[in-house]
Amino acid sequence: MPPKVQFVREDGLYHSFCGLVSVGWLYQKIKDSFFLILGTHTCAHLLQNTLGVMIFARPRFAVSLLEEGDLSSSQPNIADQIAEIKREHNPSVIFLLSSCTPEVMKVEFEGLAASVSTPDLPVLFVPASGLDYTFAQSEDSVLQALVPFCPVFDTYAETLTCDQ
Amino acid sequence: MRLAYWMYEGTAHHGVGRVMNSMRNVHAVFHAPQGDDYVNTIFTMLERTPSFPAMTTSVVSGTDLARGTIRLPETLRQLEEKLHPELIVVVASCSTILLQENLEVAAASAHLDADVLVYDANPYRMQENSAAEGLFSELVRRYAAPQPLTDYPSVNILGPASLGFHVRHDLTSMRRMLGTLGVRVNVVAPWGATVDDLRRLPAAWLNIAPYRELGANAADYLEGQFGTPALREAPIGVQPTLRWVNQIVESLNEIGARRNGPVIRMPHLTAFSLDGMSAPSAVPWFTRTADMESYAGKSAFIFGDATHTVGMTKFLHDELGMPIVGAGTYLLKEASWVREQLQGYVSDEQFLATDEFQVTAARIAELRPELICGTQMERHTARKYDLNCMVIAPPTHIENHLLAYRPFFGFDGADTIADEVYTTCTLGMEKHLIDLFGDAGLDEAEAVEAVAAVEAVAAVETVAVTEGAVQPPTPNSQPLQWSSDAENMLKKVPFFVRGKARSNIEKYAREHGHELITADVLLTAKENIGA
Repeated sequence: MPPKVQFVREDGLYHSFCGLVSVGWLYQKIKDSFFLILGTHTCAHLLQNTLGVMIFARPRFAVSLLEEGDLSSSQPNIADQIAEIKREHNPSVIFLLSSCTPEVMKVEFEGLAASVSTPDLPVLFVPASGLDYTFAQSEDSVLQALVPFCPVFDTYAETLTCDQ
Repeated sequence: MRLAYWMYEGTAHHGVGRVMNSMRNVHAVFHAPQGDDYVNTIFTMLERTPSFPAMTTSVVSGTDLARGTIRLPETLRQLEEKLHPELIVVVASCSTILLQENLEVAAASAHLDADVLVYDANPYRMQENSAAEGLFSELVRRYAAPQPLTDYPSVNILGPASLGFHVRHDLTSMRRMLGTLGVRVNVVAPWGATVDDLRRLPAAWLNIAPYRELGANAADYLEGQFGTPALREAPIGVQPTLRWVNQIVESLNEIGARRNGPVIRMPHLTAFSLDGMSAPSAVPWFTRTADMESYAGKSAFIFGDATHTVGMTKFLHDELGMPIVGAGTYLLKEASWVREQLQGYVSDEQFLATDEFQVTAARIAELRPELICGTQMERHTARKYDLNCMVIAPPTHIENHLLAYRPFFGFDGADTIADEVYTTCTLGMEKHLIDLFGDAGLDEAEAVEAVAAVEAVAAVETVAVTEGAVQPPTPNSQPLQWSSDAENMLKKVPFFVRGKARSNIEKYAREHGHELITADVLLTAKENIGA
């Protein structure tokens, strides 16, 4: 069946922001969280300008900075940075966000997050690269990453409570 | 890999955007994912120029990569059709540069009438300043054409660019001084220049390239290729400005003598003042006043780009008599130049070259200087430690992009800087008075908190009264004794806040169990309330 919606125009004009922009307000909304972006100088510059050059002394987000020497290895090691975040900020959850450059490098993010995640300090992968995701989509990704931590909703018990 | 929080310098493509947005009838195209177009908003938010920033992102998406689509030729065609720029500069991003596409071939396939330059800015090796400087030099090399010098003494001003620190004001200040000398400005570039203006650069007798970060390489090229001498000093402070003006007169008269051109005479210095009657700057007199004496011995720490760090350190030391406890730069490529310039001003231990803001913050925390001259990052660090800070270099906040004339260069600039130092430091002293006397002059947020606290206390009292409970004598009603020396000290406080000061000091005395308020108690109270 052909799609009901026909695109009459698709010329590369994206009326949205990069997925990483969602960090700017989500880190303030999700208490005790830390947002770590595996990205480049561009991602860091993007974020600080998104926040209107509002520099905070202890921001609860940072970029694990890919520099020229890091481009050759396809699976970067972020253990040191996770340790640093734990030491400096002691969050209860770290969101690990993808970005364009590691996407092009084909970094395997699920595995990377799992390799540094612990029961005490879960590291959750959030797909957010501007190559594939927009602002609202990566907001969703952050929330989706939290789903496994939600308590199971007991429909039967809830119904009984409502009836009373 | 390292953990990065804030960046002093912008990215390479931001540097390209700054040069292209400075010029007229040219355009930058970023071959990049959608996120990279964030740089546009920096121009609209901070600089607030009326026109759209002269840059477009030719979006690369994951789908495009999967399909092997390259939108660049179509973007270029659309741009030419809509804006007819004379020159389009194409630059790849940190992610697209890894694709190793041949952008030259892609751009050529658009068959444009405009000049298209694919600028090879490797974002892993270049940041904002070197990308801007590299592109500007490349454009000068590309367009500057051999031609005779102008008949009259003339100069180019190289380096002012979009989003530069107070550049529009500095340009006005330099133009005012040149106008006073009767020297014409041939071309200002990149700010406001067209491609044709770049062609006319070699007609000037002298190049003025005051910014170490932008324009210096172009001046070197023009000197090597066309023999145009260059003046590279930044006129920051009264004495450097005098030297700068004298050097312009000397250089132009030297060239004029060979060409039988007109002789430029140094006018009476009052001609440089805004009213045409006074000294060109009030700084030399101001530094001899009692006002100035009150902070001349205060320590200063300076951190920023190369030009402003060097200029400000010398100004604060040489002209305001402030001891320098440290200075440095985040431009690592310029660190050795800055170090050399500041010989005799700071020791090796006092010099700092780092692009990590936490390192600068730690140095500030250790030094606790009475004045910090830094960037927006240091302003926040200063706020954290309750220190005085003025911003002297990018990265900046919107409040550093002022509409009114606030130059850093020239005689006018010396006045602006001295005012800024004075108000920044004086406010530091007054803060104790504010804390002592109450909430007048607090930030809105702090005032709201203070009011909320007062209201909470009032609410508790109201409840107590309406319940008809027997009121124990409130501590406030107990009389306190004031010693005569403390009374005399209190009399020095201006009458309109004396009552408030008295009650705050008494409150402190009660809380700390003093029955007699002596001069010592008053001073401790002042310190503690101020802390």
